[in-house]
Amino acid sequence: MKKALIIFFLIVLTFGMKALLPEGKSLHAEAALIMGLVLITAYLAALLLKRLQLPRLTGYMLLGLAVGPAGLNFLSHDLLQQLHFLEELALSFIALTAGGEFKYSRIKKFLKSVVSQLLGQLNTVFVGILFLLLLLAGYLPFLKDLEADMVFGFSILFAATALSTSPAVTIGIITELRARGYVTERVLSITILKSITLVIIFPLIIAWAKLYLVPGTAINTELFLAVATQIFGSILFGVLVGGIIILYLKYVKTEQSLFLLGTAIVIVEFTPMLNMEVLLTSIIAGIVVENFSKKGEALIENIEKSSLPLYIIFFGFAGAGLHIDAIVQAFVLTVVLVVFRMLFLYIGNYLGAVIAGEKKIIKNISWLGYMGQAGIAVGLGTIIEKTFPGPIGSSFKTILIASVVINELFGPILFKYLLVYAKESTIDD
Amino acid sequence: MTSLLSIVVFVLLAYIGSRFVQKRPIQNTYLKSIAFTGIIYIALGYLLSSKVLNIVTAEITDQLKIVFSLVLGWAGFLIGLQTNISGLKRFPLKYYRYSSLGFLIAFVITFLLLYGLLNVGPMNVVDFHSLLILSLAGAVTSPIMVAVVVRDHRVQARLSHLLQFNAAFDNLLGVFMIGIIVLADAFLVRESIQTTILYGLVVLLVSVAAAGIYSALTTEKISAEENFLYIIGLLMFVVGSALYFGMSILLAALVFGILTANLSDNTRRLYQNIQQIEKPMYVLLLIYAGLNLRFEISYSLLILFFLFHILAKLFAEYIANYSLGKEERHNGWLGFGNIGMGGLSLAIVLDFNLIYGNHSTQGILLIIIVTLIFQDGIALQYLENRLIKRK
Repeated sequence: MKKALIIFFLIVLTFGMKALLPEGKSLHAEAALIMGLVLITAYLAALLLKRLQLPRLTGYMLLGLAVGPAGLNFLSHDLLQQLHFLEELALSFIALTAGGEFKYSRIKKFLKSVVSQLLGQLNTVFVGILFLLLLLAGYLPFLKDLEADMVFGFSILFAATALSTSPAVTIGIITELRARGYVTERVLSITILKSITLVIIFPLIIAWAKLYLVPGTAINTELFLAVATQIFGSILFGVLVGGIIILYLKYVKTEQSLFLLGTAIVIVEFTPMLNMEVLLTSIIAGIVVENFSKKGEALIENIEKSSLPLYIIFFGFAGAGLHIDAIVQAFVLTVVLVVFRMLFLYIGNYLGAVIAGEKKIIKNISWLGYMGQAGIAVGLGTIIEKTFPGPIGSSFKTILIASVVINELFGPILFKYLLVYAKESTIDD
Repeated sequence: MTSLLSIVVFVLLAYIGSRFVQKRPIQNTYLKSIAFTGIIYIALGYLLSSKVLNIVTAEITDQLKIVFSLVLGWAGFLIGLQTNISGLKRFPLKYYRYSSLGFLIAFVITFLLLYGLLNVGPMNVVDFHSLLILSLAGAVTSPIMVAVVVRDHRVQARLSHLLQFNAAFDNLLGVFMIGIIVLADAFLVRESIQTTILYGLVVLLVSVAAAGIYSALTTEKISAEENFLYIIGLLMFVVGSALYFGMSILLAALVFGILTANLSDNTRRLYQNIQQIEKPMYVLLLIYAGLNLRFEISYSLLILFFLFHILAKLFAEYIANYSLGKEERHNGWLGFGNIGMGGLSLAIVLDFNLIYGNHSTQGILLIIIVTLIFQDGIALQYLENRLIKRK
C-alpha cells in the first residue's frame, strides 16, 4: 500500500509540475526529473508486481509504458532520444554480464545438448514461420498484392526476426532471481550462443532476402568480406577489451564497478566507429574475462550488485518505447504469429533436447526461457522500413513490432515461471 | 568525442588523479593547498573544452549537463547529510553568532565595495547578480584547509573546533543564501513574484517529499543496492525539479540532505554506502568548472575582488571575534585563516551557471579559481603557523 501511494504521489507531483510549467526551463532539466521518477517508481512498481509473482523486469516495462509516449508522455520521444546513450550503456553492461556467465569448463559438459537445442530452435522456428507466412500470404493485406519473389523475401526477413531471444531479458531474470542450476545454465548458454550466431548470420540473411526484394541484386564476395571483417573485428576487439579487464583485475583491483562502467562506455562508443557489433564485442569480452581470469566470477558478482539502476533504465525505456498502437492495428495477425512462434520454439527445443537425451524438464518446458525478444528484432524492423519505404515497409514493421511487444512483455513472465518451477531461484519470492 | 566517452575520460582522470594524490603525500604547504583546490582537474577540463582542444565540444558539454547537475546536487546533498540537528545543539550560541556575523559581513562588504566601484568606475562588465554570486562565493570558508591542518598536526583544540564549526556552518549559510539570491533574481528579472514563490514552494515540497519518501522506504530492511537506488533516484528527482523551475540545485539538494539526515535512522549506513563515490563526484565538479572557464574577463575586477575579499574577511573576522566575548576572544589576524574558499565557492558559481549559463557567470568562475588558488595557500600557511602546538 505504501509503495503504491508513493508511486501515485510522485506521478501526481510530476503531473502537477508539468501542468504548472509544461516545457520546463530546459530539456536536460526535464530529463533529470523524469529519470528520477522512472528510477524510483519503476522499482516500486516492480516490488508491487512481485506479489503477483511477476518478474521485476515486467514491472519496469509496465511503468515505462505508463509514463512513456503511449501513456502519460512524461518520457516523451524527445527525452527518449536525449537519454538514448543510457540505454546503450545499459545494453553493453548487460551483454558483458551475459558473457561473464559463460564459463566454458562448466558448459563443455553439456555442450552437445546446447548445440542440439540451439540448432533445433533455429531451424524449426525459421522454417516454420517462413512456411506459415508463405501459406498465409494470400490473406495478408500487406503481402497479397506482391509478386511471389517479394513475398518470399519478406517471409525470410520475418522468419529471421522470429529467431532472436533477448539476452537482456535472460540475464535480467537470472540476476533478479539469483538463479543457479541445471535449467538456468542451459537457457543462458543457449541464449548467448544464439545471440552470437544471429549477429553472424543476420547480415547474410538480409543479403539473401535482398536477392528477392531488390531486383538486380546478386550475392558477391564483397558482402561476405564485409560481414567477415565485422564479425572477426568484433571478436578481436572483444578479446582485447577482455584482456584489458583481466590485467586491471590482476594489477589494479580496486574500483571494479567504476572501471567496468568505463569499459562498457568504451565498447558502446568505439564499436560503431570501427563498424563492429556492440553486442558481440561485449559478450566476447565477458567470456574472455570469465574463462581466462580467476577473478571473473567475483567481478560478475560485483557488477550484478551495482547494476540495478541500469536494468531499470534499460527495461523502463524499453517499456516506454513499446508501440501498443501496433498491436491494436494488427491484433489478430500478431497473435497468430506469436502463438505459432511459441509452437515452433517448443517443437524445435523438444526435438533438440530429445536428440541430446535431455531431462524431461528441458524437453517439455525449457522453451519458456526463449520467448523474450527486444532490440535486435526491432532494429531489423527499422532497417526493413528504411529499405522499403511506403505502406509495405511500414505494415511489415508494425506487425513485427507488435509481435516483439507481446514477446517482450510475456517473455520475462514465462522465464521466471520456468526458473521458479525448476526450483532454481535462490531468493524468497 | 561523444558525451559517453567524455564521461570515461573524466572518470579515468578522476580516478588516476585521486590515486596519485593518495600515494604521494605533499610536504610543501603551498603545493598541498594547490592540490586540495583541484586546480589540475580544472586545468584539464579547460584543456579538453571547446576553447582549447575542442575534444569536449560545446554541444557535448550541454548534453552532459544532466550528469553535472547530479554532481552538483550530490555536493549539496552531502553537506545536508552531515547536518545533524541534534548534533548542532552541542555548540554554544556564540559560535553561531561568530559564524553568521563573519559570513554576512564578508558577503555584504565584498558586494558593496565591488558594486560601488562598478557604478562609479569603468568596469561595467559584470552584471548585478553575477556580482552578488561572486561576493557570496567569497564569503564561504574552506573546511578542507582547517581539516588538513588538524589531520597533519597536533593543533590547539578550542580554536580549531571554532574554525571547523565556522567553515561547516558558513557553508550551510552559503547554500541557503544562493537559494535566496536565485529566488530573488527570479522575481526581479524573470517571473512575477507569485510565480516565483509558487515555483520555489514546489521545489521545496519536492525536497521535503523526497526525504519523507526515503524515510518511509527505509523503515523496512533494504539492501545496499536498494539504498543507493533510492538516494540516486530521489536526488535526481529533486535536482530535476530545481532545474525545471530554474531554482538552486544546491539548496534543493541540501534541504533533501538535511531532512534525510534527521528523519531517517539509516543515515550512517547510507553515508558508508555512498562515501566511495564522493571523490569521483567532486573531481567531476572540478572538471565541469574547467569546461566552463572563460579568460575573457575584466582583470581589474579580478584584482579588486582578490583584494576586497581579503579585506572583507579580515574585517568580518575582527567583528565576529569581538562578538565572542572577552573570554573566548582570540588575538591576531585569524581572518587570514578564513580566506580559503574551497570547493563550495565553485559549486555556488556552477549552480548559478546551470540556471543562467551566460558568459558573465562563466567569467566569474575564473575570478573565483584564481583567488582560490592563492588565498587557500595563504590560509593554509597561516593556519599551520597559528594552530600547531609548538613543543
